[in-house]
Amino acid sequence: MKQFLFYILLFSVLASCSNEPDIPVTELYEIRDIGQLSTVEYTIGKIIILEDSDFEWKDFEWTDIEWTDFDKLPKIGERKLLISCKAKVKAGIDLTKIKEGAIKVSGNTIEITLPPAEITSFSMDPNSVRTEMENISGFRDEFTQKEKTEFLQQGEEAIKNDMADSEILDDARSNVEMFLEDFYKQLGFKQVIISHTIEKK
Amino acid sequence: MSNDLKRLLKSLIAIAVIVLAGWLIYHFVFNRNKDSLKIEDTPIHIESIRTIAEISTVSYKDEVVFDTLEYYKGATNIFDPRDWDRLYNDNIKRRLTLIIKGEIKFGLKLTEGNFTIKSNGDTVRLILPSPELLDVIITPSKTEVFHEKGKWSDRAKRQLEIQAKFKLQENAEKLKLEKRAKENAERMFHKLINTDKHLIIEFEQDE
Repeated sequence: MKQFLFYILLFSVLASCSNEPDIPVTELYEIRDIGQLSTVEYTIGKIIILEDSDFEWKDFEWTDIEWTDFDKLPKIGERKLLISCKAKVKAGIDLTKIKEGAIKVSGNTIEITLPPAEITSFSMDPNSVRTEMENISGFRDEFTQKEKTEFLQQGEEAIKNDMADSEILDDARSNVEMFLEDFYKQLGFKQVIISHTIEKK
Repeated sequence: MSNDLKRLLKSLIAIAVIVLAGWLIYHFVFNRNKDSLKIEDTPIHIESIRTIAEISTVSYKDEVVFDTLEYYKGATNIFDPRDWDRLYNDNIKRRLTLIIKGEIKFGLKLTEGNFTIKSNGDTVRLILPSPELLDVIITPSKTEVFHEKGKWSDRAKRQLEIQAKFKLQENAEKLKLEKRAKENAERMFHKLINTDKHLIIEFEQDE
Protein backbone atom coordinates (compact mmCIF):
# COMPACT_ATOMS: atom_id res chain seq x y z
CA MET A 1 0.00 0.00 0.00
CA LYS A 2 2.86 2.39 0.98
CA GLN A 3 4.65 1.62 -2.28
CA PHE A 4 1.48 2.34 -4.26
CA LEU A 5 1.04 5.68 -2.48
CA PHE A 6 4.67 6.51 -3.22
CA TYR A 7 4.13 5.96 -6.95
CA ILE A 8 0.90 8.00 -6.94
CA LEU A 9 2.81 10.82 -5.23
CA LEU A 10 5.71 10.47 -7.68
CA PHE A 11 3.32 10.52 -10.65
CA SER A 12 1.62 13.69 -9.32
CA VAL A 13 4.95 15.43 -8.73
CA LEU A 14 6.41 14.54 -12.14
CA ALA A 15 3.21 15.36 -14.01
CA SER A 16 2.82 18.69 -12.22
CA CYS A 17 6.48 19.62 -12.79
CA SER A 18 6.28 19.19 -16.54
CA ASN A 19 8.92 21.29 -18.27
CA GLU A 20 6.99 21.65 -21.53
CA PRO A 21 6.54 25.37 -22.24
CA ASP A 22 3.32 27.06 -23.25
CA ILE A 23 3.51 27.91 -26.91
CA PRO A 24 2.76 31.59 -27.50
CA VAL A 25 -0.24 32.40 -29.63
CA THR A 26 0.21 35.41 -31.85
CA GLU A 27 -2.61 37.39 -33.37
CA LEU A 28 -0.84 40.63 -34.11
CA TYR A 29 -0.05 41.75 -37.57
CA GLU A 30 0.77 45.05 -39.18
CA ILE A 31 -0.21 46.47 -42.55
CA ARG A 32 1.72 49.48 -43.76
CA ASP A 33 1.43 51.66 -46.85
CA ILE A 34 4.83 51.91 -48.48
CA GLY A 35 6.22 53.13 -51.79
CA GLN A 36 9.54 51.54 -52.61
CA LEU A 37 10.93 51.40 -56.11
CA SER A 38 13.43 48.52 -56.22
CA THR A 39 15.67 48.54 -59.26
CA VAL A 40 18.41 46.01 -58.56
CA GLU A 41 18.56 42.57 -57.00
CA TYR A 42 21.80 41.00 -55.78
CA THR A 43 22.14 37.34 -54.90
CA ILE A 44 24.87 37.05 -52.27
CA GLY A 45 26.51 33.82 -51.13
CA LYS A 46 28.38 33.28 -47.89
CA ILE A 47 30.09 30.37 -46.20
CA ILE A 48 29.62 30.33 -42.46
CA ILE A 49 32.52 28.65 -40.68
CA LEU A 50 32.51 27.80 -37.02
CA GLU A 51 35.27 26.05 -35.11
CA ASP A 52 34.63 25.16 -31.50
CA SER A 53 38.05 23.61 -31.06
CA ASP A 54 39.91 21.33 -28.71
CA PHE A 55 41.11 23.00 -25.59
CA GLU A 56 44.74 24.07 -25.50
CA TRP A 57 46.00 22.97 -22.09
CA LYS A 58 49.17 25.03 -22.46
CA ASP A 59 47.07 28.21 -22.66
CA PHE A 60 44.93 27.28 -19.69
CA GLU A 61 45.44 28.97 -16.35
CA TRP A 62 43.31 27.90 -13.44
CA THR A 63 43.83 31.31 -11.88
CA ASP A 64 42.01 32.93 -14.82
CA ILE A 65 38.83 31.04 -14.00
CA GLU A 66 36.31 32.44 -11.58
CA TRP A 67 34.01 30.06 -9.73
CA THR A 68 31.14 31.31 -11.83
CA ASP A 69 32.91 30.80 -15.20
CA PHE A 70 31.81 27.19 -15.66
CA ASP A 71 31.52 27.68 -19.43
CA LYS A 72 35.19 28.54 -19.72
CA LEU A 73 36.28 25.17 -18.41
CA PRO A 74 37.99 23.00 -21.00
CA LYS A 75 35.97 20.56 -23.09
CA ILE A 76 37.28 17.32 -24.52
CA GLY A 77 36.84 17.15 -28.28
CA GLU A 78 36.00 19.68 -30.96
CA ARG A 79 33.09 20.75 -33.10
CA LYS A 80 33.32 22.11 -36.62
CA LEU A 81 30.55 23.42 -38.80
CA LEU A 82 30.35 24.76 -42.32
CA ILE A 83 27.09 26.21 -43.63
CA SER A 84 26.52 27.75 -47.05
CA CYS A 85 23.75 30.29 -47.43
CA LYS A 86 22.39 32.77 -49.94
CA ALA A 87 20.66 36.07 -49.46
CA LYS A 88 18.60 38.06 -51.94
CA VAL A 89 19.03 41.78 -51.50
CA LYS A 90 17.03 44.42 -53.34
CA ALA A 91 17.87 48.11 -53.46
CA GLY A 92 16.18 51.21 -54.81
CA ILE A 93 14.58 54.36 -53.49
CA ASP A 94 11.70 55.16 -51.18
CA LEU A 95 9.26 57.14 -53.32
CA THR A 96 7.38 58.33 -50.22
CA LYS A 97 10.52 60.30 -49.30
CA ILE A 98 10.27 62.49 -52.40
CA LYS A 99 9.75 65.91 -50.92
CA GLU A 100 7.08 68.42 -51.80
CA GLY A 101 8.38 70.56 -54.65
CA ALA A 102 11.02 67.98 -55.65
CA ILE A 103 9.36 67.54 -59.06
CA LYS A 104 9.47 70.65 -61.24
CA VAL A 105 7.97 70.82 -64.72
CA SER A 106 8.88 73.50 -67.21
CA GLY A 107 7.51 72.95 -70.72
CA ASN A 108 9.04 69.75 -72.06
CA THR A 109 11.56 69.52 -69.22
CA ILE A 110 11.06 67.72 -65.92
CA GLU A 111 13.45 68.02 -63.02
CA ILE A 112 13.25 65.59 -60.12
CA THR A 113 15.28 65.34 -56.91
CA LEU A 114 15.28 61.81 -55.55
CA PRO A 115 15.98 60.56 -52.03
CA PRO A 116 19.17 58.51 -51.46
CA ALA A 117 19.23 54.89 -52.59
CA GLU A 118 18.69 52.30 -49.87
CA ILE A 119 18.30 48.58 -49.30
CA THR A 120 14.60 47.85 -49.81
CA SER A 121 14.50 44.16 -48.99
CA PHE A 122 16.72 41.45 -47.53
CA SER A 123 15.70 37.82 -47.43
CA MET A 124 17.36 34.47 -46.81
CA ASP A 125 15.28 31.66 -48.13
CA PRO A 126 15.42 28.48 -45.99
CA ASN A 127 15.93 26.46 -49.18
CA SER A 128 19.20 28.25 -49.83
CA VAL A 129 20.72 27.32 -46.47
CA ARG A 130 22.66 24.06 -46.37
CA THR A 131 24.97 22.42 -43.83
CA GLU A 132 27.96 21.38 -45.94
CA MET A 133 30.05 19.83 -43.17
CA GLU A 134 29.54 19.03 -39.51
CA ASN A 135 32.23 17.28 -37.49
CA ILE A 136 31.95 16.42 -33.81
CA SER A 137 34.71 14.63 -31.93
CA GLY A 138 35.44 13.59 -28.36
CA PHE A 139 32.68 14.06 -25.85
CA ARG A 140 31.17 17.13 -27.45
CA ASP A 141 27.47 17.62 -28.10
CA GLU A 142 26.12 17.94 -31.61
CA PHE A 143 25.07 21.38 -32.82
CA THR A 144 21.46 22.12 -32.00
CA GLN A 145 19.08 23.92 -34.36
CA LYS A 146 19.08 26.81 -31.89
CA GLU A 147 22.87 27.14 -32.22
CA LYS A 148 22.74 26.86 -36.00
CA THR A 149 20.08 29.60 -36.10
CA GLU A 150 22.37 31.82 -34.00
CA PHE A 151 25.26 31.24 -36.45
CA LEU A 152 22.98 32.08 -39.36
CA GLN A 153 21.94 35.27 -37.56
CA GLN A 154 25.62 36.20 -37.28
CA GLY A 155 26.07 35.34 -40.98
CA GLU A 156 23.11 37.57 -41.88
CA GLU A 157 24.60 40.44 -39.90
CA ALA A 158 27.98 39.92 -41.62
CA ILE A 159 26.35 39.99 -45.08
CA LYS A 160 24.50 43.21 -44.19
CA ASN A 161 27.74 44.82 -43.00
CA ASP A 162 29.69 43.67 -46.09
CA MET A 163 26.92 44.94 -48.40
CA ALA A 164 27.90 48.47 -47.38
CA ASP A 165 31.15 48.02 -49.33
CA SER A 166 29.41 46.65 -52.44
CA GLU A 167 28.15 48.71 -55.34
CA ILE A 168 24.51 47.81 -54.82
CA LEU A 169 23.44 51.36 -53.94
CA ASP A 170 25.27 52.85 -56.93
CA ASP A 171 23.64 50.27 -59.21
CA ALA A 172 20.25 51.00 -57.68
CA ARG A 173 20.72 54.74 -58.18
CA SER A 174 21.70 54.46 -61.84
CA ASN A 175 18.88 51.98 -62.54
CA VAL A 176 16.35 54.34 -60.90
CA GLU A 177 17.60 57.11 -63.16
CA MET A 178 17.26 54.90 -66.23
CA PHE A 179 13.76 53.78 -65.24
CA LEU A 180 12.48 57.28 -64.54
CA GLU A 181 14.09 58.75 -67.64
CA ASP A 182 12.38 56.13 -69.77
CA PHE A 183 9.10 56.63 -67.88
CA TYR A 184 9.04 60.41 -68.27
CA LYS A 185 10.10 60.24 -71.92
CA GLN A 186 7.15 57.95 -72.58
CA LEU A 187 5.00 60.61 -70.92
CA GLY A 188 6.18 63.08 -73.53
CA PHE A 189 8.97 64.97 -71.78
CA LYS A 190 11.96 65.76 -73.98
CA GLN A 191 14.45 66.40 -71.17
CA VAL A 192 14.62 64.64 -67.82
CA ILE A 193 16.96 66.03 -65.16
CA ILE A 194 17.47 63.75 -62.18
CA SER A 195 19.44 64.62 -59.07
CA HIS A 196 19.81 62.82 -55.75
CA THR A 197 19.66 64.13 -52.23
CA ILE A 198 23.05 63.60 -50.61
CA GLU A 199 22.85 61.14 -47.77
CA LYS A 200 23.77 62.57 -44.36
CA LYS A 201 26.35 60.37 -42.63
CA MET B 1 39.03 12.16 18.43
CA SER B 2 36.72 9.20 18.56
CA ASN B 3 36.67 6.58 15.82
CA ASP B 4 33.10 7.50 14.92
CA LEU B 5 34.04 11.11 14.34
CA LYS B 6 37.03 10.07 12.22
CA ARG B 7 34.80 7.82 10.15
CA LEU B 8 32.26 10.61 9.72
CA LEU B 9 34.98 13.02 8.57
CA LYS B 10 36.37 10.45 6.11
CA SER B 11 32.88 9.87 4.73
CA LEU B 12 32.26 13.60 4.33
CA ILE B 13 35.60 14.06 2.56
CA ALA B 14 34.85 11.09 0.29
CA ILE B 15 31.43 12.57 -0.57
CA ALA B 16 33.00 15.97 -1.25
CA VAL B 17 35.63 14.36 -3.53
CA ILE B 18 32.94 12.40 -5.43
CA VAL B 19 30.78 15.54 -5.84
CA LEU B 20 33.78 17.57 -7.06
CA ALA B 21 34.83 14.83 -9.49
CA GLY B 22 31.26 14.57 -10.81
CA TRP B 23 31.03 18.34 -11.20
CA LEU B 24 34.35 18.50 -13.06
CA ILE B 25 33.44 15.57 -15.37
CA TYR B 26 30.09 17.22 -16.12
CA HIS B 27 31.64 20.56 -17.01
CA PHE B 28 34.71 19.19 -18.79
CA VAL B 29 33.00 16.54 -20.81
CA PHE B 30 29.28 17.00 -21.23
CA ASN B 31 28.33 20.59 -20.61
CA ARG B 32 27.77 22.71 -23.69
CA ASN B 33 29.24 26.17 -24.01
CA LYS B 34 26.66 28.73 -23.07
CA ASP B 35 28.86 31.55 -24.32
CA SER B 36 27.82 32.60 -27.77
CA LEU B 37 30.30 31.22 -30.30
CA LYS B 38 31.49 33.55 -33.01
CA ILE B 39 31.64 32.57 -36.67
CA GLU B 40 34.79 33.18 -38.67
CA ASP B 41 35.12 36.25 -40.83
CA THR B 42 34.62 35.01 -44.41
CA PRO B 43 34.01 37.15 -47.49
CA ILE B 44 30.68 37.38 -49.27
CA HIS B 45 30.53 36.55 -52.97
CA ILE B 46 28.11 38.14 -55.39
CA GLU B 47 26.50 35.36 -57.41
CA SER B 48 24.23 37.44 -59.62
CA ILE B 49 23.05 40.98 -60.25
CA ARG B 50 19.66 41.53 -61.85
CA THR B 51 18.06 44.75 -63.01
CA ILE B 52 14.46 44.92 -61.83
CA ALA B 53 11.69 47.48 -61.55
CA GLU B 54 9.29 46.71 -58.74
CA ILE B 55 7.13 49.16 -56.86
CA SER B 56 6.12 47.82 -53.45
CA THR B 57 3.06 49.61 -52.16
CA VAL B 58 1.81 47.52 -49.23
CA SER B 59 3.80 45.75 -46.54
CA TYR B 60 2.26 43.12 -44.31
CA LYS B 61 4.18 41.95 -41.23
CA ASP B 62 3.08 38.92 -39.28
CA GLU B 63 4.34 36.36 -36.82
CA VAL B 64 3.63 32.65 -37.07
CA VAL B 65 4.32 29.85 -34.63
CA PHE B 66 5.09 26.34 -35.85
CA ASP B 67 5.25 23.51 -33.41
CA THR B 68 6.08 19.91 -34.22
CA LEU B 69 5.81 17.08 -31.71
CA GLU B 70 6.68 13.42 -31.49
CA TYR B 71 5.22 11.34 -28.65
CA TYR B 72 6.59 8.17 -27.08
CA LYS B 73 4.90 5.07 -28.40
CA GLY B 74 3.11 2.61 -26.11
CA ALA B 75 1.67 3.06 -22.63
CA THR B 76 3.65 4.64 -19.80
CA ASN B 77 4.50 2.37 -16.90
CA ILE B 78 4.67 4.59 -13.83
CA PHE B 79 6.35 1.79 -11.87
CA ASP B 80 9.29 1.71 -14.30
CA PRO B 81 11.89 4.42 -13.51
CA ARG B 82 12.90 4.48 -17.20
CA ASP B 83 9.43 5.81 -18.01
CA TRP B 84 9.49 8.62 -15.42
CA ASP B 85 11.00 10.93 -18.03
CA ARG B 86 7.77 10.50 -20.01
CA LEU B 87 5.69 11.74 -17.07
CA TYR B 88 7.93 14.73 -16.61
CA ASN B 89 7.75 15.61 -20.31
CA ASP B 90 4.02 15.00 -20.92
CA ASN B 91 4.93 11.87 -22.95
CA ILE B 92 6.70 14.11 -25.49
CA LYS B 93 9.79 12.50 -27.03
CA ARG B 94 10.85 15.33 -29.37
CA ARG B 95 9.60 18.84 -29.92
CA LEU B 96 10.67 21.76 -32.07
CA THR B 97 8.89 25.10 -31.91
CA LEU B 98 9.76 28.03 -34.13
CA ILE B 99 8.49 31.60 -33.95
CA ILE B 100 8.97 33.30 -37.28
CA LYS B 101 8.37 36.96 -38.02
CA GLY B 102 7.99 37.64 -41.70
CA GLU B 103 7.15 40.42 -44.10
CA ILE B 104 5.14 40.24 -47.28
CA LYS B 105 5.16 42.95 -49.92
CA PHE B 106 2.55 43.56 -52.56
CA GLY B 107 3.05 45.84 -55.49
CA LEU B 108 3.67 46.21 -59.19
CA LYS B 109 6.22 44.32 -61.25
CA LEU B 110 7.35 46.65 -64.03
CA THR B 111 10.55 44.74 -64.77
CA GLU B 112 9.74 43.94 -68.40
CA GLY B 113 8.58 47.50 -69.02
CA ASN B 114 5.05 46.09 -68.98
CA PHE B 115 3.20 49.36 -68.59
CA THR B 116 1.70 51.58 -71.23
CA ILE B 117 1.40 55.34 -71.34
CA LYS B 118 -1.01 56.90 -73.82
CA SER B 119 -1.17 60.64 -74.16
CA ASN B 120 -4.13 62.05 -76.03
CA GLY B 121 -4.81 65.79 -76.02
CA ASP B 122 -5.40 66.79 -72.43
CA THR B 123 -5.59 63.21 -71.10
CA VAL B 124 -2.81 60.86 -70.00
CA ARG B 125 -3.80 57.22 -69.64
CA LEU B 126 -1.42 54.96 -67.68
CA ILE B 127 -2.08 51.22 -67.90
CA LEU B 128 -0.28 49.26 -65.20
CA PRO B 129 -0.05 45.53 -64.47
CA SER B 130 -2.20 44.26 -61.63
CA PRO B 131 -0.60 44.29 -58.16
CA GLU B 132 0.87 41.00 -57.09
CA LEU B 133 2.86 39.42 -54.32
CA LEU B 134 6.44 40.60 -54.69
CA ASP B 135 8.30 39.29 -51.67
CA VAL B 136 7.86 36.84 -48.82
CA ILE B 137 10.70 37.81 -46.54
CA ILE B 138 11.94 35.63 -43.74
CA THR B 139 15.42 35.86 -42.24
CA PRO B 140 17.37 34.07 -39.50
CA SER B 141 17.35 37.23 -37.39
CA LYS B 142 13.55 37.08 -37.28
CA THR B 143 13.49 33.35 -36.59
CA GLU B 144 13.48 32.15 -33.01
CA VAL B 145 13.93 28.54 -31.95
CA PHE B 146 11.55 28.87 -29.02
CA HIS B 147 11.81 25.26 -27.84
CA GLU B 148 13.98 22.35 -28.91
CA LYS B 149 13.85 18.94 -27.31
CA GLY B 150 15.59 15.97 -28.84
CA LYS B 151 17.64 15.86 -32.01
CA TRP B 152 16.27 17.66 -35.08
CA SER B 153 17.66 17.58 -38.57
CA ASP B 154 18.20 20.64 -40.77
CA ARG B 155 15.58 19.24 -43.10
CA ALA B 156 12.93 19.14 -40.36
CA LYS B 157 13.64 22.76 -39.42
CA ARG B 158 13.62 23.81 -43.08
CA GLN B 159 10.22 22.15 -43.54
CA LEU B 160 8.83 24.19 -40.65
CA GLU B 161 10.26 27.39 -42.10
CA ILE B 162 8.75 26.65 -45.51
CA GLN B 163 5.38 25.94 -43.88
CA ALA B 164 5.70 29.24 -42.02
CA LYS B 165 6.34 31.03 -45.32
CA PHE B 166 3.20 29.53 -46.82
CA LYS B 167 1.21 30.41 -43.71
CA LEU B 168 2.38 34.05 -43.90
CA GLN B 169 1.40 34.17 -47.56
CA GLU B 170 -1.98 32.58 -46.82
CA ASN B 171 -2.67 35.07 -44.01
CA ALA B 172 -1.78 37.99 -46.29
CA GLU B 173 -3.97 36.72 -49.14
CA LYS B 174 -6.96 36.46 -46.80
CA LEU B 175 -6.71 40.20 -46.19
CA LYS B 176 -7.13 40.97 -49.91
CA LEU B 177 -4.35 43.53 -49.97
CA GLU B 178 -4.35 43.86 -53.75
CA LYS B 179 -7.06 46.56 -53.53
CA ARG B 180 -4.99 48.56 -51.07
CA ALA B 181 -1.90 48.00 -53.22
CA LYS B 182 -3.76 49.46 -56.22
CA GLU B 183 -4.93 52.52 -54.29
CA ASN B 184 -1.39 53.19 -53.05
CA ALA B 185 0.06 52.70 -56.54
CA GLU B 186 -2.43 55.22 -57.92
CA ARG B 187 -1.45 57.71 -55.23
CA MET B 188 2.22 57.11 -55.97
CA PHE B 189 1.89 57.67 -59.72
CA HIS B 190 -0.26 60.79 -59.21
CA LYS B 191 2.67 62.13 -57.14
CA LEU B 192 5.26 61.14 -59.77
CA ILE B 193 3.32 62.42 -62.76
CA ASN B 194 3.15 66.06 -61.98
CA THR B 195 0.94 67.15 -64.87
CA ASP B 196 -1.90 69.54 -65.58
CA LYS B 197 -3.44 66.98 -67.89
CA HIS B 198 -6.21 64.65 -66.76
CA LEU B 199 -4.51 61.48 -65.51
CA ILE B 200 -6.31 58.14 -65.77
CA ILE B 201 -4.66 55.14 -64.11
CA GLU B 202 -5.92 51.69 -65.04
CA PHE B 203 -4.84 48.21 -64.11
CA GLU B 204 -4.68 45.39 -66.59
CA GLN B 205 -7.50 43.33 -65.04
CA ASP B 206 -9.81 46.33 -64.85
CA GLU B 207 -11.12 45.84 -68.39
